[in-house]
Amino acid sequence: MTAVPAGRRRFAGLGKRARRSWLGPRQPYWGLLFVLPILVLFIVFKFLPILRAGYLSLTEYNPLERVETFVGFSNYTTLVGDAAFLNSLRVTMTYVVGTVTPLVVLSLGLALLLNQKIRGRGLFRVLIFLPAVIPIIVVPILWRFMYHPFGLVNTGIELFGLEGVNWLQSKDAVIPGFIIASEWRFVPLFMIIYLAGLQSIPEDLYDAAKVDGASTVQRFINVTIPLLKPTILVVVVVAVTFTAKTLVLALVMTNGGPDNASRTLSLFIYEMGFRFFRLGYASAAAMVLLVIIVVFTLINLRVFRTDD
Amino acid sequence: MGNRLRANGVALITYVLLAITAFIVLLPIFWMLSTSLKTPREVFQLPIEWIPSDPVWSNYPEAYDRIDFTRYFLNSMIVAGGVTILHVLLATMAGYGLAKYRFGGRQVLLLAIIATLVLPLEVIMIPLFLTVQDLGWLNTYQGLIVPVLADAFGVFLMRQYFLSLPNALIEAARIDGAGHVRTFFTIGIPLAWPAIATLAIFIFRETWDDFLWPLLIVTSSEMRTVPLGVRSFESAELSNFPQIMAISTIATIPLLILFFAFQRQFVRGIAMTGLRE
Repeated sequence: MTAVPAGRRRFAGLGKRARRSWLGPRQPYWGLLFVLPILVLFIVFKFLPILRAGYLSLTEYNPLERVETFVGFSNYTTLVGDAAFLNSLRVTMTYVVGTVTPLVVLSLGLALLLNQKIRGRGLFRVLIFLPAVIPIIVVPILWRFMYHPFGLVNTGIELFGLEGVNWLQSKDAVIPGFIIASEWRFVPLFMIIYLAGLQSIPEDLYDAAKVDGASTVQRFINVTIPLLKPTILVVVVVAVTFTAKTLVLALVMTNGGPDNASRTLSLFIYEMGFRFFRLGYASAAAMVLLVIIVVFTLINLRVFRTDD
Repeated sequence: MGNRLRANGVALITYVLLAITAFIVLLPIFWMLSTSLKTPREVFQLPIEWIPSDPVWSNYPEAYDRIDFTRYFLNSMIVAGGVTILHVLLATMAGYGLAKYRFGGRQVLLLAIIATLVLPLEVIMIPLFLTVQDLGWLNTYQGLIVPVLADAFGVFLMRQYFLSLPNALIEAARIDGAGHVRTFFTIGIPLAWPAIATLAIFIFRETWDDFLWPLLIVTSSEMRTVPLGVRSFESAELSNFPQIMAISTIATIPLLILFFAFQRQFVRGIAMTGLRE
């Protein structure tokens, strides 16, 4: 065994097997040749655009002449004082927190139920998964119909003798409405990720805990949760990225209304860019969205990694 | 005995909870189907007629004919099919190169590619739109296909899969004198088939379902994909709920077929988003 520098060992997966690869040192450029085609696409359609977004955010763009003038950080200083932008930040935060928190819990609960060895669970899995098969464009259309003043949601509420809500016309109800629709769509997806995580936990760990006299609850807290930590991390990161960027829901269901109550950050970016052609300003807002997502992902990696 | 009873109790509670969940989850879908067979006047009538006594089947052909759905369907097939074939090939090549060769900078390369996983389209939609506009690709198939190919998930997935495969077969092929490219196509691809199938289903579904990118670059009606077609139908019809639900159902059917035909790959692809930490 040769000593591997500690820093390199962290690129797990690349571990020994790859290191021993005989193909490696001899014709290394072939490896690069295999990567090259998609690398070119990444450069043109990912790396350069993100640089251009950063640059655009420092300019004012004239859509008629297609020229940009460098204006320094003025777009950012304008953003800080722009009530519409601050509102979109607030809307996005409310939506993200409101959606991700129940999502993490509900999809885990459902995965635990579906991980029981009971008859007919295959059927339940398929049935409960179905909302995730519905096309993404149909989700806001269907839920706008559900939230119609005489729609199914209000019919259900009135069944319990309560008063119906004008979901998409009320400033206070619109984001809860978004959240319910999002849970409906996303819980089945994240349930699948959890199920994969649950199934990777070795059975004998539970048996061992059982022998030691651990109750179901103790087994859940001491075996399931610690071993599920990487999965929870993924669920949280993916869920936040999913929800923080949300555009289609807001665009199709309410177009930001009523009174901007559902104008998410990405809808703000979209409208600034594609309706008002203020590309520089829209790009500055896009950089803020990027920073939010990146910072959040890094925090999560930290929180979940340190005590491993 | 006591244990047995308790196990039965747990199973019972599980069944009850699952049944309630399934009921709630399926209700909107069922309402969509039942509405699609009603007349506009019947839509909000109480009590709800879940199975219309006089189903208006004609909602389906009428909604279908009201827009050029066949054209949108073909567009979606071309775009999703094209993206799937090209992306799977390029991602498999890249995964193979990254897993089976050692070359300078491959770690950096891999990290740079993986980092784009947290870079949503919403962040770069403006510069990406400008790039495609500069290329003259607005309202074209290449505009709908090529930018979508730069997706990190497939590269990462294929790299992980190739890492898990032993080198023996590849080695043998090379010793027999096969070139690098031939070894890749005759040994690499067949070995990676399970991962390729999963990736293909995943990418096809994602592309078929994508709404935002086509929305940004398609303005002509003949280049619309199915999601754009559904959207335009919905904005034009506003409160003709039966036909809106009919067109929504029509748009759901291809994905439903895909799901039931490739259930395993379908689910595995989603489960594997869990691998991407």
